[in-house]
Amino acid sequence: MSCLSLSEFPGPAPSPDCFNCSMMRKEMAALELAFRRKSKITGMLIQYIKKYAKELKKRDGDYVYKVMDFCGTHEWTIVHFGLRSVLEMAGVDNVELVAGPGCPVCVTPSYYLEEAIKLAFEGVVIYTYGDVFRLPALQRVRGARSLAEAKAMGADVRLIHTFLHAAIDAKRHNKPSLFLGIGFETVAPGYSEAILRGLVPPNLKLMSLVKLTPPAMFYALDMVKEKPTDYPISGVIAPGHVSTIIGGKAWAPVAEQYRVPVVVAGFEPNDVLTAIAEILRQLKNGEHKVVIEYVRAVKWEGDLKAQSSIHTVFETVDTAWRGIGYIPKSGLALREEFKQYDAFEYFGIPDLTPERWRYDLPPGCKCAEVNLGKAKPTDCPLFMKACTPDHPVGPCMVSVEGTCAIWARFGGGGLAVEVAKEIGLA
Amino acid sequence: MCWAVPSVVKKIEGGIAFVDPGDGVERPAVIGIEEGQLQVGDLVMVHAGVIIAKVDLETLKESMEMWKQMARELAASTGEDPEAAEKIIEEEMWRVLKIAEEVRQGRSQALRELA
Repeated sequence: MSCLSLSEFPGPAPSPDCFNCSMMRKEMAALELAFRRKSKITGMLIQYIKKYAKELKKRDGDYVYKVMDFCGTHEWTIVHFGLRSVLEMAGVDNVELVAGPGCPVCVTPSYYLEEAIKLAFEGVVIYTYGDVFRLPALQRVRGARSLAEAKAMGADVRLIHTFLHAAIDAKRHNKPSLFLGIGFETVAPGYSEAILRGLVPPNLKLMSLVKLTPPAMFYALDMVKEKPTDYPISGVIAPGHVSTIIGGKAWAPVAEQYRVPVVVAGFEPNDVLTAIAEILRQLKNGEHKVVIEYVRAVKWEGDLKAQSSIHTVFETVDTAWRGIGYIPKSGLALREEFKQYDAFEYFGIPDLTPERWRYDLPPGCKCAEVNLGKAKPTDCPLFMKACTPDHPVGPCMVSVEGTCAIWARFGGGGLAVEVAKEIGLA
Repeated sequence: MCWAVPSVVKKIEGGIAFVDPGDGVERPAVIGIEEGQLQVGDLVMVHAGVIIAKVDLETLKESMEMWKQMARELAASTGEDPEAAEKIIEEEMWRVLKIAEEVRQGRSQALRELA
């Protein structure tokens, strides 16, 4: 079997008839099926949810329990597998699944994108993940509204899947380069370990736009409670892979302060249904604790080595979320001793400050409300009219994990049932 | 941005793991977690080129205990037999765990039972 070494990466793919590769594919397929083919468990979980929803209704009447699925991948699972519709068809009408701000592409301020486009036109090689490539900025920079447009106009913008790809590629050409470091806690150990292990060449600089999720969850829970007429968030499905790093313990303050059940869940439909069932069970019993459902990958303490690595390289700072504004202690910036890797320092980019931050969504766009669980994509006047996956206007329509993009691709779940009822089909 | 891909560790070299997400192509990944706990053959979750977790199939049995508890409770509340409900869950989970284990050991024909 051909194994790629770091020095020759990226190289040719191994031969497709390689015995080990073929075995690996089968093994992975079996594992995926092992997680998916549990329909009896799915049926049981729905019955369980139905039972508790009914008991809550008996106790609390028409009160609607809002459960926030914080992570974009959870929203993907919910919409892709039609879990909203399934619950509605099961007669559960007092539980509403609400998307949260769990898509880093959606919440990256336009300012940083505009600065990256500007540098791209000045000859800097820009490395970016695929979904950031099409992210629309608020203002055009030399005619380009996105890195994709800048590339089309001749700038050197390169799509990569990992920071390591960028490091390897930048080392080859040795031109001034910038990596647009978007992400949540999951990407942070990749950046910090690459720096600590000396894998980053001197010509590659990191624009750290890493955001931290617990402060955003606090903020979102506050915002949904803002309107006294609205139902507050009653329970939270916490992000599974972020929690592999920060641990289930990171959500304890949320459960304690807001007195809401929090379930750290995996991403298979049964994982999400289990989380909903556990949240309803706790609500029925008046409990509010953190439960880790995703036990196959998440520990209470998280990964201490990753936490230490992140803490060594980064410091926590206040940072802006697109359309939302500054959330205290919600970002990571490179520490002074690692400033030689800092794109802001090297390219002289003035960082955004609370005084300079301006509302940065296009007119009419409701991405901020969608991210905070205050609106559904279908509440936005632009949704699937001016703003589509092919021509995104707002940031939530870009990434595969943006709520609007997910709803646009798979439908909104419950809407199909509503339409069917309206036209007399259901 | 929680999307992560289950992959198998094929090689560990200089702080970098080479992982295969199932397509036979090995890719370098930064080891974001404690390197000492990783071995060739481990199943890991890889997010944007970073290993963020080692997946422990044994803990699926913990999930099974949780589901069994739910099944018992549900059956009891609806007047059904809690032991029968528990058994259905147990049989289904053991079946998939057994098949996954067999395939991991190289008996690919076990896959047909899931087809």
